[in-house]
Amino acid sequence: MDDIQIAQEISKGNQRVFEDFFNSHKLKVMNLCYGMVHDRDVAEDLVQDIFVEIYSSAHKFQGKSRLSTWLYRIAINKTINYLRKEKYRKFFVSVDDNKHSLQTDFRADLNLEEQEKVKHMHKIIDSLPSKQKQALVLFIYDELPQKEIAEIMNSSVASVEVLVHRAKQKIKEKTKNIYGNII
Amino acid sequence: METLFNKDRLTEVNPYLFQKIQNRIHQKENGSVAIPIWSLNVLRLSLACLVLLFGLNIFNSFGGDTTPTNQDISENSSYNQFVKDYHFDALSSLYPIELLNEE
Repeated sequence: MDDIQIAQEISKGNQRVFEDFFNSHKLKVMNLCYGMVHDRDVAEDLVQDIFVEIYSSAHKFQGKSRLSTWLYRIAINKTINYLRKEKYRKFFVSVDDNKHSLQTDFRADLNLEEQEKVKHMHKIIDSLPSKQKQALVLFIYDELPQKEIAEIMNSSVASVEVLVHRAKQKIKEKTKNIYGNII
Repeated sequence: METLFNKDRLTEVNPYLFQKIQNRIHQKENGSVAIPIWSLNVLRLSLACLVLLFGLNIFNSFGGDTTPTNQDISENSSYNQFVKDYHFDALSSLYPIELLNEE
């Protein structure tokens, strides 16, 4: 079954095709959202939003790109919209609420030192320019080839390569000052 | 750095996630009220206009008094010409009728 047929089946309401499509992409989409927002609960909510959007707008898919590329584009837009809204929301919430939201992002599978390092790395990733952050997350968290990242971001492979390289350099520079060469 | 990224990467997804998605689709299909997107834009535009008018109002109230004073009017040449031409008519309404009759 090709991408257009899959999209058609999803738009017709074929649950089996939709579930197969979900199962083959769920982890990648989840990692993309997590890499962007650094919170598993929020990432899970975003994944739900993304697949609901895919289901309701599958009829709009024209086959100009791959279905997975289309999915990643929707996922990136959703996460960027979420981050934008979150930025404005933070102006209106009290310090206590912010504290609470940070405490929920706890990783039981990492030791304390690793958690600290991961938290610090998340802050550095958040400080990157938007395009660098997107390219890095797609490359590192989703392990996508640069060609596919270029298709998703509507740019050339060379510029994706530069974006990822610069992002990695910045992370290395900023972590070196604190952890030396440990990270 | 790569090791830390590998550790941070998620390896599993909530097994009930697809069920949650199906529930949301079901809710959307059955319980949603169709509101056209343009109506939201109209609402946003109206709110923006309201805020703009509110802002202008505040700006005007602090921006100084633009109402002409009596002195400004009396120094106006067209006003003086008017008084010269119609001084009696202009004042007549202020006179009591008896006084006018005496004149």
